[in-house]
Amino acid sequence: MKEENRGGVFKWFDFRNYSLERFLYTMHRISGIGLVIWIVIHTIQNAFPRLFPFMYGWEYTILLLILSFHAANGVRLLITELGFLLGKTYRPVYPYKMGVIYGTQKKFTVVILLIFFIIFLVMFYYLMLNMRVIT
Amino acid sequence: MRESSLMMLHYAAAVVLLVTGSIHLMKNNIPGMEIHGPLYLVNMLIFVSALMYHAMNGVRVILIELMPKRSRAISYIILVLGIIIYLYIANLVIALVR
Repeated sequence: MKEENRGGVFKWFDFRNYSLERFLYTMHRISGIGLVIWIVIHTIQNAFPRLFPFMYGWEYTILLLILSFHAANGVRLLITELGFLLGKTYRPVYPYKMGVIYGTQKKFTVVILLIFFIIFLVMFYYLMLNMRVIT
Repeated sequence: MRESSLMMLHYAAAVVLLVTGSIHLMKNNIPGMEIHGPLYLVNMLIFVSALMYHAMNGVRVILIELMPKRSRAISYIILVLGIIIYLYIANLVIALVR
C-alpha cells in the first residue's frame, strides 16, 4: 500500500486489452462520484426549497441512468465479492483454460446489464408520468 | 477497523440502501403511494445513515487508491467530514418528514 499509484485517474479510462469488467469498474466509479454530487444537490434543494425549487426535467434521465447502473452493477459486485457464480480456479499449466471470470460469471454480467436496463426503463416510465409527458 | 470489515459494512449498507432507497423513490414518485408517519421517518433515517456511510467509504476508497501514502489522513478527514454532513442531513430529514 505504500507504493505510488502511477496510473492515476487516467488509467481508469484505458480499456485496451482489458475485459468488460474493467469498463464496468470505471463506470461504477464515475456513477458513484455522480451520485455523491447528486446527494449534495438533493440536500441543497431540500434545505433551501425557495432558492432551488424542485423541477422534473429531462436532466433527471442522467440521474436515473447512473442510479440504475450503480445499483445493478453493485449487486453484481456484491455477489461476486462473496464468491458466488465464479468459475473454479486451476493451476496455470499448459494448455491454459478460460479464467474464473468467464463462463457463468460472464452470463451473469450480461443478465445484470439487462436488469440495469429494465430498472432504468421502469424509473424512466415514472419520470415521464410525473413530468406529465404520458398520462 | 480492518479494511475487510469496512468493506463488508460497505456491502451491508448497499443492501440496506436497495430496500430503503426503493421505498423512498416509490413514495415520492408513484402516484397514489402513501407512506406517512413515524415508519417513513425511521425508513429515511436508516436510509440516510446507510447512504452516508456508503458514499463516504466509497470516496475514501477511491482517494486511498489514488494516494496510498496518505491513507490514514484521508480516513480521518473523511470520518470527520462524514459525521458533520450526516448530522446535518439527519437533522434536515427529521425536520422535513415529521
